[in-house]
Amino acid sequence: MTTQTNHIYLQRLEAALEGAGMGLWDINIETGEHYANAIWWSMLGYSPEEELNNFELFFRIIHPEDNRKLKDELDSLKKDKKESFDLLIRLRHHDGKYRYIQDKGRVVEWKNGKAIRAIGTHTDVTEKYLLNKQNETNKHRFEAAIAGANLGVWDIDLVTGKNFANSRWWQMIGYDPDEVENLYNLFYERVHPFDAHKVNEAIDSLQKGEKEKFDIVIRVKHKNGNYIFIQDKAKGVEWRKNGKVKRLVGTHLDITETQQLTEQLRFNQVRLKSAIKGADLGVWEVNLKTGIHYANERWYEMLGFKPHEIENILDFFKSRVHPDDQSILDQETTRLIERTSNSFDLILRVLHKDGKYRYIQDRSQVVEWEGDKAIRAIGTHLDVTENYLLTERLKLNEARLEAALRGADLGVWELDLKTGRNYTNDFWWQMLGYDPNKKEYSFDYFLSLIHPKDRALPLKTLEKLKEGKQEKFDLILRVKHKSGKYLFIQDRGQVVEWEKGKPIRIIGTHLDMTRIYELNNKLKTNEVRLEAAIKGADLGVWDLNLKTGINITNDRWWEMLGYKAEEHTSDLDFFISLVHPDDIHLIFESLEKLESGEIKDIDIIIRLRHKLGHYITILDRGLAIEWSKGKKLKRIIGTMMDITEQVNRQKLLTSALKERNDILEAVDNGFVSLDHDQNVTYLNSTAQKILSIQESELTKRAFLDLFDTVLKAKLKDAIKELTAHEKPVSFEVQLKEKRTWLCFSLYLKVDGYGIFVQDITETKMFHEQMLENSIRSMENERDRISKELHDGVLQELTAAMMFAENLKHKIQPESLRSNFEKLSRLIRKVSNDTRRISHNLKAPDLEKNSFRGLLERLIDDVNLTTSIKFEITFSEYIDSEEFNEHLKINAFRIIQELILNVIKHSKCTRAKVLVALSSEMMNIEVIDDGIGIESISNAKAGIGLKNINERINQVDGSFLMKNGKNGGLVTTIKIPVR
Amino acid sequence: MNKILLVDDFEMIREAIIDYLEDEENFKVTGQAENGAKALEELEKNDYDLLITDISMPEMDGITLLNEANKKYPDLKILVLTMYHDQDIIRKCLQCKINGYMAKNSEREKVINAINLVLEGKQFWDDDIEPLGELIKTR
Repeated sequence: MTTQTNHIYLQRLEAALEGAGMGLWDINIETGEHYANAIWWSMLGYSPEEELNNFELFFRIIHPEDNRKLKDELDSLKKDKKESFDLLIRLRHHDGKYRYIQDKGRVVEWKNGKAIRAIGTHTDVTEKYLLNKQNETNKHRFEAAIAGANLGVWDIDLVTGKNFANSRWWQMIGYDPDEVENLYNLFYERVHPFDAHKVNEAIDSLQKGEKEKFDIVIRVKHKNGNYIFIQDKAKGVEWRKNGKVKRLVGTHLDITETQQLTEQLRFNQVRLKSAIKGADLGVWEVNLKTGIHYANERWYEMLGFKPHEIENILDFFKSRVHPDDQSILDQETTRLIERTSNSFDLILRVLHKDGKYRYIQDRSQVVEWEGDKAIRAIGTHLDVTENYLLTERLKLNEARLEAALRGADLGVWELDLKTGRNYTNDFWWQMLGYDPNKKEYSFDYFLSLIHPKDRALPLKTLEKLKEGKQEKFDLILRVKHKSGKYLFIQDRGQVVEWEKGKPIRIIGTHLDMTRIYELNNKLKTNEVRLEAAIKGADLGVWDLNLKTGINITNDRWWEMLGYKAEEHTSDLDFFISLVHPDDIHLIFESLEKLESGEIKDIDIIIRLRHKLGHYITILDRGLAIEWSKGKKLKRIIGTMMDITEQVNRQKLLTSALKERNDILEAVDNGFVSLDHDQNVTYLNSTAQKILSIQESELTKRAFLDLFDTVLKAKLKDAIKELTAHEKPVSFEVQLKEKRTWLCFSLYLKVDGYGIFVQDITETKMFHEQMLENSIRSMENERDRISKELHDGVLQELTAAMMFAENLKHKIQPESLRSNFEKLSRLIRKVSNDTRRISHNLKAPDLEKNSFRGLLERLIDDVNLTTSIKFEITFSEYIDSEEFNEHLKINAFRIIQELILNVIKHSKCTRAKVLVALSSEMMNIEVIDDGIGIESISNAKAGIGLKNINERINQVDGSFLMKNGKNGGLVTTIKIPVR
Repeated sequence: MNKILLVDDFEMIREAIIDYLEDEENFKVTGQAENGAKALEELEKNDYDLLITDISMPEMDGITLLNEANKKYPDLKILVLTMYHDQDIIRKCLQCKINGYMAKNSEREKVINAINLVLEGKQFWDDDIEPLGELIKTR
């Protein structure tokens, strides 16, 4: 190779190196000889001339970390006899910044196995390196972003089927990455059937090369069965030669929540928009912190302004509010800001651009807070001017109407037949006594107030109105006022609105006609009554002119006196001629008094001579009706009633009453007459005496209150019974403090009650004495019989038995002896019976023994002679003296019989006798543990029980036998003590 | 031979009892009286081993007789023969010193047996008189 040629090569190399931007270096490691081309130097910002021989420079500018790397590399060259290396090192540029240099070199000369010369190139790869680095950072960032964004990432090779997905991808649909083999199939199977086409179409368009990527939202079934919304974004990253997509990389994002929220939001927005539009609402919103505000078109329009004309809607609006409404707005705003209220709803007068005020309904609320500070407020405006004015006008009209109607005393009502709604003015209710403000009363309620007999009337009328048979109506209804009184209501009305020929609205008025009706009725009644009265009362009517003496009279007047009208001229003289001489003065006196004004009318009873000669009694009443100018009485009109019969009857009655009272005074029965309120109307002296009543007491106290509680109660009961059954009632009662017995007999009178009172103490005592005597004599008799039996019959029987015994002993033959033995035994039995009868007949000796002692003895006796164990218990005061002798004897006998009964029939082992005494009653109870009542039913009719019954009847007692709760028999006897 | 004084106000009874005892060899009714007073007179006059007496008698009843006889003749044996079975009377009799108490209408053999027992110095209390058994216990 020539130098020329060398040079040419060198030039070419230089150009190539220059073109490639490569620095060239050549170093002899042994000698330190080195070479570097200009690019090498310029690459690091140096000029080759100034640093030409300074190879050390290289080691000065190399990054300390890379210096080691380079030395290691060079060492390895030596050691391993490697011929080339390729390193990335950082060299400090002249400007102080490191450059990334790709250092490629090879060993060109070896000596003794050692590399002694190497040549290499430097390429500045700073830019490339940094880019690369950036790439990696991006990649990391991307991963992080994916993780942060909860992105599922998938990657699929459509040709090989190889696929990958990150764990989030799996989690999203509920799987564990290890669970599934084929990602694509799994995914595809889980796509919602309605969304599968989306996936197909997207992949198709990619494969056809129509699109490079897709972005779809699909529903995918989660492992738990629920569909989730997935945003699936993907793009092709590798293509086949035919241009079809080979590899797809995509991301999945679970947007279920977002999707749902979005749906909701969209829905709300639509609703809100339509609501705002429909309600013609102006909407405003202010951020109080930033001052940013918003208002919709309608808001501006409402005030007549354009958006650009207004800088701050809040301040502007406030400036337009009517001065009178400013304070309320301020007040409500303050409340909002201070959080004492959540929102306000005001109607404000706001000045429109046209200079007129509009009524704006301003509803506002704070929707965002920062601590205690309101930062966002939202509100709506609604122009209610028309409504407001209409309402106001309506109110005014109503008030006017009400006033007008009130003046006319009209109640107004209105009925909407379509809706059934009704309206009534205040007075309508007031008329019936109800408070109109409550208005809880319905049409039906009104119907219920109508008098039952009138109730059908409005309903029938309503039917006729509905059928179109009638358009107007005019009824009189009786309607119940709240006070309960019925009012006469004139109910007039008419149909005022039709729809398709059918009435739909009726308006009517109510007018209270009660007073008019009542007056009318009264007037009518009075007239009728007058006529009826005159006729019914058989009144003679007269009309006397005192000036002329003419006395005009009706037929009855004449008839009363036995005349016919035409028989006589009727004048004062004739009349006077008929008056009983003793009564004439009455007429003149009353005429004088009438004239003097002392009396207003004549009212006298006089006797007039009948044509037949007898006198009739007349009630003569007259009224002065005309006076002459000189104040002289001129005319009197009057009536005459024949009261002869009444007077006679009265006389009769008076005498009958007198007779009755005389009789009542004469007899020794007390008599009291009470009116229906139990006030004494008559009380004879005997009654006063018996009941110890002073007449003066009667005015102070009610009749019944004059007596002790027992008598009072008895009287009350008797009056009750009398009123209920209308049959006379009698009862006996003992007045405790006096120990007297009274018998009251009550009967019903027309005017109340009649009461006969009799002192029956003596009779009672007599009866008691009689009873006691009879018991005593009976006891005496029994005692006598007892003795007779014991001392006579029994001794004789005993003797007889003894003789029989002797005979039995002595007589022969044997057959006769047995007969005497029988005889002896029989007589012994009879004698034993007789002894027992005698014993029982023996009178209990109450003079020597107390009642209690007697009974205790009795029980002792019984216990000694029977196997039954008897016990007896007594209450206190058993020996009270209140409890008289015959009762004691009777009680003793009864107990004796009861005990015998127990012994004979009960088959018991134990028996208890309880004797209790109260002030009213003696209670005897005998309880045994025997066989009870069923089994002794036969015995009930036995002599023992008959005796008991008789004795009980004697003392007005009662007798009850029943089985005890725990078996046995319980016999209860009650004997009244008094 | 034991001597018996028989006291009863009823003659037929006395006769009947004498008849009862007629054939007995151990004792004999050697005196009779119709009341307590007469009986005391008889006791005064003659000796007796046994007094058989009723309780209810005129002039002097049996109880008085028993008291007197107890006082005057403490060794005299006494058998009460009566139709009174009331506890009051029995109690009163038992308060005196008596050797037996029996129902008057008892069988002959029973009476003879009772007399023999009493004469032997034993006591006889009649089973047929119901309160008697109890009252003896509480005497």
